[in-house]
Amino acid sequence: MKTLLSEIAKELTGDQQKIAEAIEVTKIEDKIVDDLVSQDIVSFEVKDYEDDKKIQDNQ
Amino acid sequence: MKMIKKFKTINNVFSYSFFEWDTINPIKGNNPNDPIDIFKKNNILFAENGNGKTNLINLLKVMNGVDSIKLEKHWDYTTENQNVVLELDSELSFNSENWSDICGALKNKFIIFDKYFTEKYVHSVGLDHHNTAQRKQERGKHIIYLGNFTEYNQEINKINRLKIKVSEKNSVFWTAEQEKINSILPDWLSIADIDNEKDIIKSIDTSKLSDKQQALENQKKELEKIKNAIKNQFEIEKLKNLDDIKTVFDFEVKELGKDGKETNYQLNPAELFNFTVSKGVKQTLSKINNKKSFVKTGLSLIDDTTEDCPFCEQKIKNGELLQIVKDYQSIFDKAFLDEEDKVKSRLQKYKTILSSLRDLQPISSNVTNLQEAQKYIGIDISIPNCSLDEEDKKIIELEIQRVIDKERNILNPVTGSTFEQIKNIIDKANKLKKGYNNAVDEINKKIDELKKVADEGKLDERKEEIENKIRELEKNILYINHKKDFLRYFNAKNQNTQNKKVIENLEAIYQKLKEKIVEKFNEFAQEYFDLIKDYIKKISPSMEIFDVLGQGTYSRTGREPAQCGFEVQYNKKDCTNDLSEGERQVIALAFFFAQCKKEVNKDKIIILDDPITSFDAGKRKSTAEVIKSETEDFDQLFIFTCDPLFREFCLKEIPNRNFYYIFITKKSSSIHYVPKKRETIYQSFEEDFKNIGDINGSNENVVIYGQKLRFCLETKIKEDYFGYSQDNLSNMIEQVAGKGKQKFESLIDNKETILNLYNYCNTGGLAHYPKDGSTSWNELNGKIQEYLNLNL
Repeated sequence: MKTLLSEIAKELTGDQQKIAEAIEVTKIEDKIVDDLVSQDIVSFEVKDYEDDKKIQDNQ
Repeated sequence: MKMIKKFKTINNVFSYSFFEWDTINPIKGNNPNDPIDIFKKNNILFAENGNGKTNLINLLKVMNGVDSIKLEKHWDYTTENQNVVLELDSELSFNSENWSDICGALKNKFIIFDKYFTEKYVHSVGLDHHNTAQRKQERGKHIIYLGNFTEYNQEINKINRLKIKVSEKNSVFWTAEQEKINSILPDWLSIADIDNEKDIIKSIDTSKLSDKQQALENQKKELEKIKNAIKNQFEIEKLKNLDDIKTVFDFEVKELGKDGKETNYQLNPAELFNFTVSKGVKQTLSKINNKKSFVKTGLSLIDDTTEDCPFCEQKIKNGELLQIVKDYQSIFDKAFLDEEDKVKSRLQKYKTILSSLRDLQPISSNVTNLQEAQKYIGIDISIPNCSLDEEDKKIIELEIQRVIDKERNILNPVTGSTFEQIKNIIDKANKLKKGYNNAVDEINKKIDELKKVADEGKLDERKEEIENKIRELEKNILYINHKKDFLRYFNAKNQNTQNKKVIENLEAIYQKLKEKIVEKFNEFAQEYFDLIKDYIKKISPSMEIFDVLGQGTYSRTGREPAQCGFEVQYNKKDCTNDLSEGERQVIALAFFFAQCKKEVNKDKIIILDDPITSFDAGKRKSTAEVIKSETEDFDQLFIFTCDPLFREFCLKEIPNRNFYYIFITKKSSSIHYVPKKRETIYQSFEEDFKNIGDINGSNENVVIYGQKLRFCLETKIKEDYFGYSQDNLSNMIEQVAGKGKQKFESLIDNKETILNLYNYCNTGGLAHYPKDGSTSWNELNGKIQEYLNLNL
């Protein structure tokens, strides 16, 4: 069966499409969140600034 | 095409402790190679309650992909191993090694109608508010035919839950990051301040930490002083400025000429020290050492009219040239004396310069004045030492001594001037003086500024200014010390913003899905209306009062799923609340057949589990007719029923079918093929009765044989004597007439015995497991013997 999400794909903005493409509705929410993280759409860990490295180098 | 040929083995699953198809159904057709005992295109399976009909359907449901059903082990079977072998075109075999594969092994192969289908798709508005399921129904309101909307609803709900999940995770993430940065911030600094100073923090130079710390210390001291100044405002105006060193160190001196004009003279100590009389005389005389020439020159300038001497402009008297020379001598003498005075004067000036040079030193009052000012103002400028070192002072002292010596005896030349060194010392002294005076000027500037601030009553402003500087420095030091933490925070903030955009987009997607599902529902309703109404009329013509109106709705309260529904009306009045069980069943079946009609892929097996519950005889017959017409195109059909009448309708109505009886024998449910002459079932049971002496009299067997007795008694009399399963009166009469008077007379004669037996079967606990030993094996044996003696 076609998912409802795939049926509205054309009505979505670019960003929304990117999110929709990353969502596999057959997976449980936690897995979908993991997918969104792995595709860098959402993030719950702080990435280092380049400046951080400079600071560390200086230290 | 994939048909089920047989359940070859079902071991240790629900009531099927050990079922082997080939053992139970060894019967073949006339041709031993003709496997008539395998399932046909259409199959009718009859079973009384508790014999394993639903268990078999559950097994099929699991294979269809329903993972919420657990295939329990047989309750009285000791082995752990479960085993199911299904024969299709090839065998599907499951046991302990691949047991989990059984779920979904024939995924979506079955289209199943049972009581759950009715419950799922046909709801009256929830009446019981304590029942969560009914509350959900109430939210959707009205009768619900969802079709594939269950999946769509789940999808929408999943997007909503996903949004909530992302939102919650982001909230946890962002709160933690804010707490981290808050734990660093002092009371006077907020996260909003940090946000505003992002660029400053990013570009702050961490190598300047010690400079900033030092500046902070200084400002703190300054603050203490300004506070002191505020306390002692009247002392401020009494503060004195420091004095400059005004002495000028220079060899250029001013001399007053005879004409009263000042001229500059550059002191030359060597020349002064060498001044002697002989030299002066020589110089003077050299001018007039040749008198003849001197006179001749003078005479040549004189004629008869000349009255004045061309040199001295005196009146010339003839013969008085000698006198003129004398006059010049006198002039010379005077010049010499003038020169001597000049030398003395210059020596004096030179000595004065040397003395002041030697005595160069800081002004003592400055120290006191500075200390006084420092009580109220931060002055980090020290007054430099401006004294010459001892070596230089010795050189100066010696030079002074030379000057004194020369002054004492002006005509004696003095040798050994250290003029060149003195010049260097003067340069040095000038530099010291300049440094000293600069420091004094700086200090005075601060004192003046403080006085001005105090005079204008702005000490408090000054204090505030210093406090602001302190705050600024403290901020800078904080930024330097925690630059890494702040950069992390900014990055986290960016991520929070990005995550929030995703959450907003998920909400937007969710809203679009909501719109879409309503749109889809409307399409769905249009497609299904006529079909559903048509099937309702086919199954239950008397229900023409019903109309089905589509109403696409989607609402969300909390996390409950949305529902789309049809409203059933009677005379334009909503009767959704008042549907009977039978009416619900009719609507459910109508929807089921509409779904079958719409099903694109006919490569499926239809399973119907007692679709006629609560139906009257007319609906049972019409249902059988609809089943026949609507399942033709599908791969296979299984009708499970416990209803003899419906069974008979199906047996007559549905072509190309086999009939099976599901029964518990020897502790296990089993599926028995029933030949066309189904009396053989009674005969086989009656054969069992004859050999009952060989049977163990367990409680289990009390139930099994009790049910066999009931089946034989009820079915045989109802169906064979009275044509109960015939679908019309004509056939029933034919059936009764065919039995003959003698049989009926015997039936009447044995009425009491038959009724006692029937009563015993229904109330003696035989249909259920004996609870208290009220029904004994011996007692049952006696009843069975009575039945056999009846010779029905």
